[in-house]
Amino acid sequence: MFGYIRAAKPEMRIKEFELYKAVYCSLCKEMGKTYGIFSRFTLSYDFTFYALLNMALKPDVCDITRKCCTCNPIKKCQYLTDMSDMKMPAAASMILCYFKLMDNISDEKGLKKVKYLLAKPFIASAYKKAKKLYPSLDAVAKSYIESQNEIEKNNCTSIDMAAEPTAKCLAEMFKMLTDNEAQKRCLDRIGYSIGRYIYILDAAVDLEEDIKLNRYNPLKEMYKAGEYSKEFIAGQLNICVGEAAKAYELLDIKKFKNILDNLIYLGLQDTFIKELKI
Amino acid sequence: MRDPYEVLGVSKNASDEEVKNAYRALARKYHPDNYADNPLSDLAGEKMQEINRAYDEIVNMRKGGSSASGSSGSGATKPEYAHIRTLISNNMLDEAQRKLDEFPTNSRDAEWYFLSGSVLYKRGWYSNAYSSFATAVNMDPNNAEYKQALNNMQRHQNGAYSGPYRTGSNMGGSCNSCDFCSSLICADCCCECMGGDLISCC
Repeated sequence: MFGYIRAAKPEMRIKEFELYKAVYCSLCKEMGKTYGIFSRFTLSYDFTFYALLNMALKPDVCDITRKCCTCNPIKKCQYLTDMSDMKMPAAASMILCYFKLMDNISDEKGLKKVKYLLAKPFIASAYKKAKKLYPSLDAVAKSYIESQNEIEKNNCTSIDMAAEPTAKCLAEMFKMLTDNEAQKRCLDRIGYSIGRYIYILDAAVDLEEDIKLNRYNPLKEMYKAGEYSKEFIAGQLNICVGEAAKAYELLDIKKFKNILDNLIYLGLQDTFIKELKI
Repeated sequence: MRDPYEVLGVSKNASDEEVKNAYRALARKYHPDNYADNPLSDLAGEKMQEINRAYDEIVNMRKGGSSASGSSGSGATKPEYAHIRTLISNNMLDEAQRKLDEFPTNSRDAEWYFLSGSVLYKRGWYSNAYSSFATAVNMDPNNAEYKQALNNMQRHQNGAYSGPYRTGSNMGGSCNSCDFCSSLICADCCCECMGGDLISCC
């Protein structure tokens, strides 16, 4: 979606990094296979996290094979032998990408709009396919977009309210990863907190541009009143990550624990420090 | 039941000291204070019980010693809030919010702000929750429960969650004089391999 859920690579062991990359490449491959070459360009780290979490909750071991990379035929990449766990993350990625594209088309003007319009037929056909495979994901995304539009129309100035649609959307998507009720509640909390983190970080990153172009941003009011500061945003984001971490600790992780620890305890914080240039 | 050693994440050959340390670290992590007001507090409680049981079992297996446990409680001060507290602890947030909204603005005391902070916190509305907790503490600075809630959020705000993973200097990118010297010596060795020299004296 935004690519704000990234691992802190310098703190990773090589074997963890290779596994992380294997999941990323497998997701890319799955998208290319099911949704066509163009869908590959829409892949983000956020859905790699989603795919990792999906697999981490299942007890079976995962095998890795080396095959040629489809994007670069000279390069050999590692892929998961069993690709079935990639199907749902790939669909989620396509569905959210489609809605983001539609949003961009209605927001942008000029050349950028042309660019998005050109991408539309490819993304739209992929979206149709994903929607057919996972109607529940589509329903979640639709209600997210509707409430997000509502928020923007009413020019909402509360961060809590403005972040809710994104947070709820991720919470619902994360909940789909398990059937266990207790685990569902943990995933709900993780999804909510991470969704909130993504939304607030994105709003802070876009703030100056949004003011210039007179677009909606929940932080605008605060900025005009002189109450905005990067430290305030950092504090808010830290609370989100801390809450996600607490819920994460109650999750029954079967594999990839080191990679997920890295993402939750370090990656999220490092990412926002980099993005906000603190 | 799961193997108690597995629960504590130590091997069967671990020394008593190692078992104790592992137990302490986990107990600190899942301590009820960490999950006060959290919608997942019951799950954390179960986890804590599992850890306590596992530790007791290991200790008993090894020599049959004492047991350890930790808990904290909180009590409503005003009867009208007791019901709301029950609603909140059962995660019935909409109902609790409605009951709280019924209080006229001028009768809202510290506990009212604390409770609405709890509702907001459980909802994930951390920004408003923080202000509510702060108001509660402001109105009643001596109440440990309110202070605890605010402290929990402040700790996170300062980024104090990066627990077990980060290694070495905490924010990365830092470089002390020792690193610097060893890097220079390394570079010198490389230069010498290729026939050049970086530090002429060594």
